Amino acid sequence: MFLFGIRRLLTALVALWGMATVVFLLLRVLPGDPAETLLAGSGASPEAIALTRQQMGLDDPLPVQYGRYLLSTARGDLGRSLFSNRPVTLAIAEQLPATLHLAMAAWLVMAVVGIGLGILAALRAGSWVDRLTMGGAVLGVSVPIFWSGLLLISIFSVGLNWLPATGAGSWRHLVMPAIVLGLVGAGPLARLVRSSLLDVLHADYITVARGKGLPSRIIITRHAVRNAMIPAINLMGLQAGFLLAGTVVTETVFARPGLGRVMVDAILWKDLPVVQGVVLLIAATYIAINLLVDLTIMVIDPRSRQT
Amino acid sequence: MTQSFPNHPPAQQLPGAATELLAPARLQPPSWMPQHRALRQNPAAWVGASILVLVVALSLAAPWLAGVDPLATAPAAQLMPPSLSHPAGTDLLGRDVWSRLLWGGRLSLGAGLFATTLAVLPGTLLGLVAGYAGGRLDMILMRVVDVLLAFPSLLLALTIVALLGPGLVSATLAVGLAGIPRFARVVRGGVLAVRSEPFVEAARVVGCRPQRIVLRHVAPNVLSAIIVLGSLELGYALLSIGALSFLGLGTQPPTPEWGIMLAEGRLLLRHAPWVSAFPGLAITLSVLAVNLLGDALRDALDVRTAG
Amino acid sequence: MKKMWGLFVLSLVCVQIIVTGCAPAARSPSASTPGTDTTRHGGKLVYGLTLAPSGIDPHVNASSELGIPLTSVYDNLVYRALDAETDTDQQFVPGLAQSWEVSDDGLAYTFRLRHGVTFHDGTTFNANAVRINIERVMNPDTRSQKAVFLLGPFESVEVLDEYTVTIHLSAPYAPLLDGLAQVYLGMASPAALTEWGMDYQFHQVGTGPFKFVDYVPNDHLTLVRNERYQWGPVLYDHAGPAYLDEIEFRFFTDPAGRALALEAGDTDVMGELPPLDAAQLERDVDFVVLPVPVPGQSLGLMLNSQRPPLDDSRVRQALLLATDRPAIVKAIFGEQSPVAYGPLTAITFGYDPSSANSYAYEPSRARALLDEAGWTDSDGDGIRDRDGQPLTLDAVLMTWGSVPEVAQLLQSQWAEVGVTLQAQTLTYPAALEAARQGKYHLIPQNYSGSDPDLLWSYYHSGVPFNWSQVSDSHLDEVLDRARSLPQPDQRSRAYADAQQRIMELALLVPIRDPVNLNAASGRVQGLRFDAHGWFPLLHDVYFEQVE
Repeated sequence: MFLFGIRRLLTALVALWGMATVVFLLLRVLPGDPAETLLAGSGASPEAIALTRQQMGLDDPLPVQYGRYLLSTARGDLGRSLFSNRPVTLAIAEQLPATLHLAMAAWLVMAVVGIGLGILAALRAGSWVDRLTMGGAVLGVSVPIFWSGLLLISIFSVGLNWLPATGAGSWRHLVMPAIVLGLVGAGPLARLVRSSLLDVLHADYITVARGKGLPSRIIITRHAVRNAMIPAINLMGLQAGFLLAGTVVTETVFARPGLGRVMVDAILWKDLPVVQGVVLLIAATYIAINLLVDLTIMVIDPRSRQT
Repeated sequence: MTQSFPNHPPAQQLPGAATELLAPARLQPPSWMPQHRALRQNPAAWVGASILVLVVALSLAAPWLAGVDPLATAPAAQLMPPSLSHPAGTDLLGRDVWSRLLWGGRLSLGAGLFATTLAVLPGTLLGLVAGYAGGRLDMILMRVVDVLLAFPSLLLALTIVALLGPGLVSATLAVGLAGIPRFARVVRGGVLAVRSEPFVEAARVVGCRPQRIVLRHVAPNVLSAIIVLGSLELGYALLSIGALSFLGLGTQPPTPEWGIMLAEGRLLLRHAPWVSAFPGLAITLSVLAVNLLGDALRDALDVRTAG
Repeated sequence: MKKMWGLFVLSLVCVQIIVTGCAPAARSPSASTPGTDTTRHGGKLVYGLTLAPSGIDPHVNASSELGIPLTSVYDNLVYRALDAETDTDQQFVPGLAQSWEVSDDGLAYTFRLRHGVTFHDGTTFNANAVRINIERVMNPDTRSQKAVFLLGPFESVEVLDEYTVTIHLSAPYAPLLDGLAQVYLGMASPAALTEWGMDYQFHQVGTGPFKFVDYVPNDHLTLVRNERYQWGPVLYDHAGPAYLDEIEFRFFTDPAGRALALEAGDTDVMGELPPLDAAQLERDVDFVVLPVPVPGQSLGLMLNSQRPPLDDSRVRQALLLATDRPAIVKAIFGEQSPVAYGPLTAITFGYDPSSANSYAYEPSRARALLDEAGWTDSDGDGIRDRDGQPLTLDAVLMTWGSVPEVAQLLQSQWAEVGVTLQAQTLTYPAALEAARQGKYHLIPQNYSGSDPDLLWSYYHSGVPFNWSQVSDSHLDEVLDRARSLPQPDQRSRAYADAQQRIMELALLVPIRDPVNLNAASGRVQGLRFDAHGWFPLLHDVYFEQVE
């Protein structure tokens, strides 16, 4: 287990390096000159634009830029934004809490709703409860947040005045964003839980357990749910990354601060250091979460330890 | 194949309540039905198929049913509510929403299905290979998948847009490619869960070639997860294409496509809800239909592998 | 299945009822009795900003959004008068400079500064502070994106005595006062500039009616009242400290959510509302809509005059004649928005009203001009062609300003005269790159500015953002001359000439004059905007009843 951990950590570092390199290269493919973007509309001369480009270090050959980037990243320095001139680490540190709160709350909504409905639907497979639940799951995936978010605000903030429409800071600010974001993930989760639980309920060992005369409750909780959880946990790991990186639309609709917004603005404006920094952070978080997922599965499912 | 394989009867054979489900009487080996009968007797499948046929037929019949040109603007007739002359109302530019909906179905469904295929096929293959091969290959593949999963899909989309130019094709490619790692990981998780099952072991012992084992024994058993996620992926794809349009980088105006119609309609949500409600409904219905069919298909396929 | 369907439809209907049902909820109108000064004091205003600016150091960054909060943190040497006759000498009024004089050659501006002004950190404002501020802006390491260009042909700044300072130019530059009147050249505390250096934007210290407290990007920016404020310009309605205790600015990037946030009570003021939302708020007694026209460029599409077939001025003129601008503006921007006729908006100093007569919607004349230029529909497919080439134009669009919607109506209108318009929406950096490479026939442009010299930055040959790619010696000469003329009426005549030339050459398709649709809760009193259009004068704002 310990050796496994070390090995995974090393490969994670390699993965991060690969990520850093890919992002660095991709960003250079995107059209646009940050110096020009910065100075458009200001009456700047071509010389002023050239000087700014040089100050940004964009005149250096690519290998030089790449080397500088790797060295400073290794030292923990993610550079400064080309547009706001702020240190990227600061920008991340200040936006991360809001994003984490949202992602964690949404993840919780997803887990509770997804697993709960999934089990319910599987146990009542074929009934109207099942159909309603699964219909709802589809609705969750096929109604866009940028649409449903506005509806929720219209109803619960403007109409009923129960919840603040926008912003961050208290749990009340989190309710609507967490629900819309969480429900998107809950749909697939509920369906997956339902389907794997149905698979498991008809597996041999359950038949054996029933044959031994174990009570249904024990069979379901101790055997069926436990085994059906494996694909679900896998998916929840995936969704954690999706939630973390996919908060941008939610943040925009509910006017929340957060990393998603920062990253999208940075990509759209080609703010190289900010994109590189945020992507590295998301990648690192993501890799860490999936490491956890793999470890969890190893604990739950002894079979997978054979690898 | 012998009876020891962990297969289960089609869902529609299951009684509605959990107590019934676990009743000893149901523990007899089920009497297998031929697959066509399974599909035919599943009412959900019928509903799904009917909706899908209807949506596809309406889209294909657009030239005859649309009535007016989906691109014809009429600023004087903007934002008219649904009426006899405009069954789904008109949008900000006075275009007929019904006509755009029908014509849009061709593009949206086509793009959504293409993006889904693009995600499912390579993703499943990667997951099968990684999961079955295990060891170093699995390790490397999964690290790559982790990196890709953590990769912001917007950056990927923008890179593709930069290379191919903005438009529905770029958006579809971007959305499809971004889905590959999701499937790879879920399928691999499923493979890990079944690869040490006795029937796989058995196949290995009797000397089946790996390709045969994966395709004949492993793949069918992760199929339910693939179908469930795959049918939801269509929803993701349609919405992601819409989200790119929301950022102005997906489908280019004035192309009628459900995603961009939805994105355009959200500013009008409080003034002309029909502009976004109809494309939203179209997306939801299509995803619902595909999911219902997916469920039925999953059950039907289980029958075949058992036979 | 049927049950679920019913439920779904039912819930949609419910949602509809709730949404529409709550919108026009008429509440009792708030009584509006003018309060006395003492009743006006107090309260916290929440102000909704639109874009979260990428950086907010006024000397460094360039966005209009940064000026909305920071206009209240800083004072300027001079201010642009709110309602002065634009052609007179009274365009500017005293600020931190009590008076000023310009040398006869137009190369030296000497300012006599107000005494007794202190920065929020307690340090004294004097001539040396002015010098340090201006030198900071000019320092290449500051990487100023806007302020440095407002100073034009700056040469040096000279402190004559404790309260007298002279700015020396290398060439006459009439827009200088306009630049000094903008928040980008607001006077910051030298002590704070030295202490915080590159991170000054998070620790700003000025002399204005409100003190900067903190700024968390995407979240909030907070100001509190400066109790010592006694030196407000005549623009402000009252002397002494501001009424409000505190102002919190919050960021609302999504236009669709702005009116909702205002109605939900999350903000007291909101800027840049979508036209339909503004119209709806206007019907609501609880809210006041304040449309503010913005001086500067009109929103329009620049025509690339170097790229065939637009190198033929007849084709460009035909496009203008084939454009039904009032229909476009009414459909997309609503009744509040004026139609644009030239490169400048109607409220910009130097605007030439005579261009309003040019290029009314005359598709028949457009067809005639295209025929004359050799573009005819020889193959009968409805699209004009010449030498086997169809008359197809490429537009590079950006997502702001409803430009994609405008382009779609242009597509229809131009198709009527046999012209195909293909549009591509790009990110801002990508659009700039396409512009630099000249890969477009049309590209939108819309930069605001209160001095008509901005024409120089977009129509003079050889400037980087000359997107109509014009190189016209007459235009160059007029624009060069206009920026050096000392008298406003002379400048105004020169700019009229320039605007006529631009429209004669048909270098752009003007669409509309931008109007910032602000709205405020009915409790908010005294909200006005300065001459730059974007920036509110928050010093005079108060709440009708302070609970």
